[in-house]
Amino acid sequence: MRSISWKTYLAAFVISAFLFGFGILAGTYLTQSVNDGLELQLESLKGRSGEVELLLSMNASQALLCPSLEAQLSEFDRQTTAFGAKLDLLENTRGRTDATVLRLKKEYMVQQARDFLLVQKINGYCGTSIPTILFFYTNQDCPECTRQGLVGPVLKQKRPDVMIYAFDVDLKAPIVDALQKVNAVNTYPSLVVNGQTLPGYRSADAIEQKLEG
Amino acid sequence: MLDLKTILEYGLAFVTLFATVFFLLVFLENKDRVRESPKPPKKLPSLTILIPAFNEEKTIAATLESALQAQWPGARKKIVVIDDGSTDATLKIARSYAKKGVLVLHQKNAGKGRALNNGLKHADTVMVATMDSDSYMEKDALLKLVGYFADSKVAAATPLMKVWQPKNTLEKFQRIEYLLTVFSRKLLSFINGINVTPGPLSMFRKSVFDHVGGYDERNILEDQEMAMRIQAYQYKIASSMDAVVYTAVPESLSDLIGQRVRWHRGGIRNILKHYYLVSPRYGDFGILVMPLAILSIFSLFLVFGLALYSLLTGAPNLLLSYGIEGVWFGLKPLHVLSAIILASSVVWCYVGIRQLQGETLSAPFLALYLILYAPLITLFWLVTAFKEIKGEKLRW
Repeated sequence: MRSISWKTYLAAFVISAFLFGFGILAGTYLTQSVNDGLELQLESLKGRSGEVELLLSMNASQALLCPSLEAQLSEFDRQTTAFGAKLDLLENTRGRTDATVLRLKKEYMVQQARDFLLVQKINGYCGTSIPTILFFYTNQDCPECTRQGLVGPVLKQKRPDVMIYAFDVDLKAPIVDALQKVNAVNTYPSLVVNGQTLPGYRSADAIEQKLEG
Repeated sequence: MLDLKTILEYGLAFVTLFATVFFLLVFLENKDRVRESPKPPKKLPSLTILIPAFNEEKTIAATLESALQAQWPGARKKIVVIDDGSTDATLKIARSYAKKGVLVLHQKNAGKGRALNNGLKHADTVMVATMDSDSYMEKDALLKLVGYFADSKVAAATPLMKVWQPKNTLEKFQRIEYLLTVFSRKLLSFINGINVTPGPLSMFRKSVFDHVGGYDERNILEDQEMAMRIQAYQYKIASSMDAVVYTAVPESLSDLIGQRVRWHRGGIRNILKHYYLVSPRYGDFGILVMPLAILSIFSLFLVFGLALYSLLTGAPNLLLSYGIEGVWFGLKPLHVLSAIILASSVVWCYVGIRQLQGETLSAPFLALYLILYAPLITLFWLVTAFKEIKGEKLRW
């Protein structure tokens, strides 16, 4: 029987196992650092909305408070939109069923609901009419939902003053269920434009008309 | 819970990494021997150079000139051309060399195996060299091969094959491929794992043919089949890194596909014929070389299948669809592993090329080779699979 290079096989196995393990750890670390980065940004968004809530709870005059609130809201909206885009990218690259994607999306939706309610409060307190759109969609066999999802960024470019909040109903967040009930949403996609519920797909122009109407 | 796709991907990554690391270790263990060049014996044995030829009127003359000029005592060197029923001027050109002592045999077209066996009947010498009729050996090639036969277990010795005057990009890619193959073969020789005695030039002990038998005349990859049979009989095959032979390579993609599909179809048949070699009885050849050869075929189709699955399920190309940020966001441990495997392959290529004296290679061209040429191997196998499924007749 011919010789077999057992020692070399063993050494190769140990080195390969080490490199393999290093690769897995490095990959996991890098993936986790992406997750951590997004978590931090989400925490920052929560902190900012907490500050806005704190401002609203102060008994300061409207003249004093409202300019500050509107400025905060504008910056806040910019950060939230940027975070939403990153979350979309994460969903596209890691897949819809990725555990981190699902968790971050759910937290983000809760944050969006909080923002929407804050905007309602600011509108009431400051007498402003900051336009809002709630967009309810599902990923289960809904090509119109996908079409509607593409309209949001286009509209936001035309109308940067509009606050758009998107809710994936498949994630079953209680606050999203409550918002649906309050606005009588039972088909998808559905939009709630300044409090008016519009079932089915709407183009950017049609939504603009509703905003102006 | 890991799905089957993930298990296959990571399993394949580990095996690839293991094979690369193993051969790098073999190199490190034997790096002083890589450039060895055993001296020829003081008294050279008798030698017959067999040159089977079929329709090689453009190259046979140059092949014969290189054989005639090869350093070896004239009285102990015999050159035999076996014309395999050529329909061009090959036979006429070969016969014009009869006056220089070349023996020219002619047979009805029956294939290279039959031609070589026909030639072997006239090889009453201690050593036999086989040579393709479109190859050209350097003058000292035979002297650099014969030294390996000081080891009585060595049945055959293989040369450093180089591409003859590569002109277009495809030929230049093949040049790199041939150089890296020689390095691989040298490493394989350290574990007695060589699985082919190349047609362009190989040297044998004549007695080995008496022991293992002549060439398989129904085989389209008879040079590989002979090597496997030599392994089966527990002989050694040596590899030289300085006995140079030049060979012509396909200039067009279609010709290259034709050549490689023949090699692959022949290779599959040889593996099936010699399946018993997958055994510890045959040392490292049996437990590593043969299994890797079989696994590499399956893994190629597996990788292709996984890529096709990703394409059909709409998985995006991260870089093209989302740019660098997309790659960063979509990073998985498998990507890091792939980068490690790629890096170790580049190291392996670099180490290999450095062992070949007088050969230079630019890093950008090597990168281009890895990116553009390596995927062609998938194409060769896809065409092979198609022809096998179609049951197309095998042709030399």
